[in-house]
Order: sequence, then C-alpha cells, then structure tokens
Amino acid sequence: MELVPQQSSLQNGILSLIRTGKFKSGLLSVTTLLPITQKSACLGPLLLSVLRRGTEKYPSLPAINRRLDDLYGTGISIRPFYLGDRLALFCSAELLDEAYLPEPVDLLAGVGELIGQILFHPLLDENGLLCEALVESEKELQKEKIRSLKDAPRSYAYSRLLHFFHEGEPVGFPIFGTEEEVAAVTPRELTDFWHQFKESFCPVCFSVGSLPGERIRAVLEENLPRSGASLPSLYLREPPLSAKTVRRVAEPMDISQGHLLLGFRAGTFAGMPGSTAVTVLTELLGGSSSSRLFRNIREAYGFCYSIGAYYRAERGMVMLHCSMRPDRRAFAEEKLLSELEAIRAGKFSDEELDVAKKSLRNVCRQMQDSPSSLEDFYRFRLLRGVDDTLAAQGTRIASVTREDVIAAARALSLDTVYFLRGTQRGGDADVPDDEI
Amino acid sequence: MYPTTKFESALLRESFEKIDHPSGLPIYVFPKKLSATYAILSVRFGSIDTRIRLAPNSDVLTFPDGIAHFLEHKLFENPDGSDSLTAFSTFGADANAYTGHTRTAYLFSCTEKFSESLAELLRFVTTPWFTPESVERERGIITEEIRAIVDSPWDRCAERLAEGLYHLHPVRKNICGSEESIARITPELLYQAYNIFYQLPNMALVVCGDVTAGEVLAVADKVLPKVKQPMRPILRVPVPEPPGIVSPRMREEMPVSIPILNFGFKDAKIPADPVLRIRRDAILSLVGEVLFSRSNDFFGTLFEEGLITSSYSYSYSICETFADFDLSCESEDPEEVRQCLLDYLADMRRSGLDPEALERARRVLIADQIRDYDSTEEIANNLLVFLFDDAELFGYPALLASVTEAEANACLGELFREENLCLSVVAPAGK
Repeated sequence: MELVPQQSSLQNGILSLIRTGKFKSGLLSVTTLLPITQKSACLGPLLLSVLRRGTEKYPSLPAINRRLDDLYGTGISIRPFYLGDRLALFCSAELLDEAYLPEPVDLLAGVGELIGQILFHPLLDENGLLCEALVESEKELQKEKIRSLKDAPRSYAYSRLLHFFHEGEPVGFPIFGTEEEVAAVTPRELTDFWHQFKESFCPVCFSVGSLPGERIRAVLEENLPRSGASLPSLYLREPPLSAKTVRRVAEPMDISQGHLLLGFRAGTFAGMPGSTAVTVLTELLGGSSSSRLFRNIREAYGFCYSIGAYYRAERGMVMLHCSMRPDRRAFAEEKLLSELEAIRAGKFSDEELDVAKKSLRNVCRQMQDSPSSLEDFYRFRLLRGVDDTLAAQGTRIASVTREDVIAAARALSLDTVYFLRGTQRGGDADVPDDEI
Repeated sequence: MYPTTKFESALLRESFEKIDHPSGLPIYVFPKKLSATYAILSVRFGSIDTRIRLAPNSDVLTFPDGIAHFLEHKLFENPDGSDSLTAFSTFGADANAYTGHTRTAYLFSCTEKFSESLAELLRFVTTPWFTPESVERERGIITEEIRAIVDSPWDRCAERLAEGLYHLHPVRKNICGSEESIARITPELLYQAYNIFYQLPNMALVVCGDVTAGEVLAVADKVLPKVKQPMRPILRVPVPEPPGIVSPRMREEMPVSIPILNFGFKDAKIPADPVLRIRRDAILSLVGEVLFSRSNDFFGTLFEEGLITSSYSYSYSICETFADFDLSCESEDPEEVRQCLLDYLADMRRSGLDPEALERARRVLIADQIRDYDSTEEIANNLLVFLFDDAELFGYPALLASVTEAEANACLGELFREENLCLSVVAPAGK
C-alpha cells in the first residue's frame, strides 16, 4: 500500500504524517525556511552549528550526545540546505520504534524535548548573547569547512559549477559563505539572527512511524514555539528557463584527473509542465549504468570511470559530467554533446526510452522504503502547493513519449561549462576557457 | 525439498532460511515486506587472494594485484556481445557489483520482475567472457578509477595506514591494484582466476525482500546445474605477516586544507575459531564505542578544545587473516592528538572502562543492530558478511549483550597500546 502523508496545521506551520508500522525506526523532523541572502547563507549554517553545541539543560556537545545515547542511540541531523529560493534550516531525528525497546520509554517525548532545547534554549551568556567561545569555535570550523571543499575534487567541481551557473540568483551565494564573511560574524550578530529565526519560525514538521498523530502533535506543540509568521512561498523568482550565452570556466588544481561539467538550463523546473520529460531525458542520457553516456562513451572508449547526467529539478538545471585524463577534455566534451544531439535528432530506440522509464519507476517505488526519501519528495511538493504522490509521479513517467523527450532535449540550453583541470599529468589548452 | 535450515530472532521479529541447493550454491532467503527486493551473489574472492595453490604440493600461483576487481568489471559482458547491465535495465532492476578485500559481490535491487532479474544474475556470473579488446578498454576505465583514488586524500590516508600497519599482508594494497599491476592482466589470467574461484560452493546467494524461498528456488533450479560439481581445492597461501607494525608514523603531502589523520591499531590476536572471532568483533566494537563515542571524554575534550574538527569516525574490522581498529579525524596538530590519544588510553587501561559508559554503548549498538533491519540492501549485505565469516547473524545482539566488563577491559589492555599504533597523516606541505 502506498505511503502518503496526511497533512494538518500545527501551530503556525504544518504537520505531515505518515503512520506506518513498516519500519523499525521512525523519523521526526522540523524544517524552517528563511530568505537566502549573502548574510543568511553564512549565518544560517553557523547558527545551527552553535545551537548543536549546548543547551540550557544539556550544556555541552557530549551532554547532548549522551542524551541521544540514552534515547537508544537516536541520531540527530542538523543541517542547512537550499530549497527553492529559501534557506532551509533542518533538524531531523531517527528514533527506534517503541515496539522494539526492551523497556517502556517515551522516546518521542525525549526526542521532542531535545529538538526544542537545541533550537530554542541555547547556552546564552549574562548579556543574553550566544556564548562567544562557542561562536568563535564554530566560526573556525565553518572556515575550515569552506576550505575543505577543495579536498574532494569532484564535489568541489560541482560546487564551482553551481556558483557560476547561479551567479546573480539567491542560490548563487555559497551556502557557508566565504571565509571573510564568517570571520566577521560577531556573537551579537548571530544572536540577532537567532531571534529573527524565532520570530519567523514556521515549522514544517514531518513524521514517519507507528506512533499516533495525536502524540506527535502534542510533543511538538509542547516543545516548539508559536510565532506570528506564515509559511513563505518557495520561490521569490522562478529559475531562468534558458541561457543567454555560454560561459566557459577552467580552474587548475594539483590533482591527476580532470572534471568536466556542463550545466544546461532545462527550460522548465519541478512541478512545471515538461519537468517529468526532463527527468526521463536525464535518465536516458546518464542516469544509470545502462544509460547512453555510460554505454556509448565510458564503455565504448574506455577513457573515463565516472560519467553521468543529473537533473536538479527545483533549480531547472541539467548537468552532464565526466572525469578523465585532463588531456581528453575536448574529446569528452564533444562526446557528451554528441549524445545530447543524438537525442535531439530522435536517434534513440523505444527500448532505450522504456528502460529509462522503468528505471525511474523502480526508483519511485523504492522511495517507499525510506522515510527520508519520502520526506524529501513530499516536503517539496507540500511547500510548492502541488498535490502529488509517488504513484502519480510513476504514472506521469510512464506516459512520457519519445516526442516529449526530444522536445525536452531541444529545450536544453548550455549555460556554463566548468572544467577542473588536474595539473599533475599536464592539462590541455585546446579549448578557450576563462581560466581563473 | 532441499535441505533447509531456518533461523529466527524474537528480538528482531525476523527470520530467514538457508537452503542447500543441489548445484552446491548455498542460498539464503530473508523475507521482508518492503517495496525493494535485493539479491546479492557473492564469491569468496577478494583483493587479498593473489597467492594460491591448487594442491598441497603444487607451485604457488600468483595473480597481479587488482585481478578480483578487474574480473568484477568484466563479468557483465556476454558472449553474444550484449552486457548484463542492459538486461537488468530492461527488467527495471538496478544492478551493480563491488569488490572487497575478501569477496566480490554482484547484486541488483528491483520492485518488479524479480525472477527475470535473478535468472540474469545467476546466468551472467556463471558465464565468463573476456576478449583482448574488451580487457584493453576496461584497463582504461579502471586506470581512471585508480586515479580518482589517488586524488582522494581520505583514500590515500587509509592506504598509507594499511602500509604502516602491515608488512607483507596483501591488505596493504589497493583493492583496484595499481596502474602497473593491472597492465599485466590478460584474458587468459582472468579465465584462470575465474575457473579457480568462481565455483558454486565457494559462493553464496542472498535474497531479501517480498519473496518466498519457492520463487527463488524455481529460478535457481532453471539456471543452475542440477548436480553439484566436486569443489576443487583453493589453498590460499598466506604471506607470513611479521608481528608488530611497520612504522608508527606514515605521512604524505597533498593539497588538503587541514591534515587528515587515520589512527590504526593492528590486532594480532585473531582467533582461528569463527565463533571466537565474532565474539572478539563484538567485544572490540563495544570497547571502541565506549572509548571513542561522541558522547564520551576523548572526543568531547578534543573537540571542545578545538584540537579536532567534527569530522570523526571509528570502527573495528576483523576477518580470518587481518584485523584492526581505525580512528579517523582532522587536526592542525597530529602529534598533539596522538599524544592525547596515548595518554587517554593509558588512563583508561589504569582505571578500566566506566561500567555506566559500557552499558550506554551496549544500548546504542544493540539499537543500531535493530535499525539495520529497515533496508533489504542492509540486511542482505550484513547476512553475507556474517555467513562468509561462518558467524550467525541473529546471534550478534545477544553477543553484544553478553560481553562482560572483564572481557572488555582485557581487550582494551591488549589492543590499544602504543606498540600496535600507526598514525597515517595526509597533510599540506610544511604542516
């Protein structure tokens, strides 16, 4: 039976509930949305890190962690991410189903209390400011996080593509800010931001598990404050649908491989007509080991290991990528583009299309096995005001035609070409890029 | 009916069956009402299996490093020119494979057409096909895979640690091999390795999902031989590993933002008896949780003092021929962390483990065990690990529950000593 959330209002926000005995551990999360600005991109992550360090009742990180251990190893994840044009501050707990506890313990009450403590009862100094020592410590860690992006070359290349691709859009601000911005944050500024967070707090809560909704509601109402804020819309401005010019950027790095990423405007985005066709197109191109990029490039030429395509639906971006010897960069780009051209020209079989659709429907069904996947899928649709289910998504995928896919491919427009050029074996210079 | 053994757990409210298929392949079926069904066919052939004898007095056969992984890449190709990845896709299944130190595994997950996918899995793994051209192409792909590892500071740090802990044991080598070693791999060598290791009794099939043993056996009966072939001996030739570590410190310079640290304690006391080996795993997993949990003093103090970042993990692993406890973190001052670690361990050895912390760790690890049963992928892979080490999956929570304070303190005293410790550091030049 399909798991579909039941929605109701909670305080000034929303509670989305999937009641099921399917899992041995459940999920309880609270998301709140803030505008993305240059400041909030830096302050939001920093605030979450400082809040996680200690609360009135659990005054240190080990004290919070010990409490989690006592709650049968409940895991808490606190992280920032972009959703639409918003900065989402997210706190999620994975807790064992009470049916599997060796003794009667109200885990839900304990987890709810801890979430409330972390978000709304932090350690404050005598002036009512977030503790300076914790703020300074987390500033150092956030600066290190920014520096360490470069340590994972492929992920770094992706973050650089996003940076150039989204320049001028709210999501173009790097989510941890810059080192200089972090260094300039004061405890007063961060405390003010925390107050803003409380004033605009409008919880989007999600729960998956066997507990009755009334218990979950009661625990959340007890631990989360009510504010006068209302749920913001996800987008201030819809993502650009097409590219005006192609921007080429290359950056050198002291590594052996090259990482080539092509960013396209998709001509649509999540929840809009044509978005499902882009999902199918991306799968057909490079979504799996039976995709065209994998078979026609990796397997046919044997010059790369990592290759694929990815649709970032909420931003209307399609990315093709390939990691290979730097001197094969021009060859790789030509092959990636030629595969897209083949789709535009209708040079793909009905069987390939069928395989791509089957693969996506398999993914939709498998998402039913994962509380966090269910949450991701439904949270976005809930906030966009789209009435949708995974089963309906599967049906839409099944109904995509080859003409839809060809049209989706033709609507892609190349926006940014990013190349992280490994210099250890000598990189090529056969393509004019604006090398930084 | 084939000989069948049923395993049940009251704690987990789960059960599975082991069926001795007439072909010689052991089959495990774990029914689970989830959307995805996961099947994994694995062979006891990993990256460390590079030296074997086919008979007690025969010559030692030596394979190039990385051959198990190379074989895994190539096995999806079929004699008719098709590849099995595409076949799985036509059934809507998602297929993959991986190679570890001690095993190679081929797998798929699906939500429909399970029988068709299972038939494909059994068929392609039992039908090798290697040509010079395809082997040459694959060499290029694997070379890029190796280079991706070379570019990863975490992988390099882990590799350096293995080199610092082990003198001769092949676990010190990369699972993919090196560009030099894979250059020596030919179709002939792949066939030779395949014919030695890919014997059905040397393999196991695990299926977890909304399926019955009857459905699985119906496919196995169609695809696999009706009669068991006698198992040809595979005599692994261990390289005698000298006691002690190679070096207390390993270091490599890379352009990283902060030094990456991998501490490893080499465990030389590996029980030959699998029952005792899994017990040692439980004891040292518990000791590791007490010592290094994020709720305890070591992490708490170092993190609050700003000596380490929040990037921090630890684990114990043991198999028949090697075992070690690893702890990873990041710090601007690796030597200071090392000294803190040694001082902390000396204190813990003197005082013994805090009984309250031991109980908390036990509670956390048993809860972790229960959580593992929410995913067909997790269940199937865990079952495989246990069965390949002749251990009983459902017995593990009870093992954790039965570890005594005395046992835990004894293992703490044995393993967590300076003479067993290597620190591997990947650092920017000059740090």
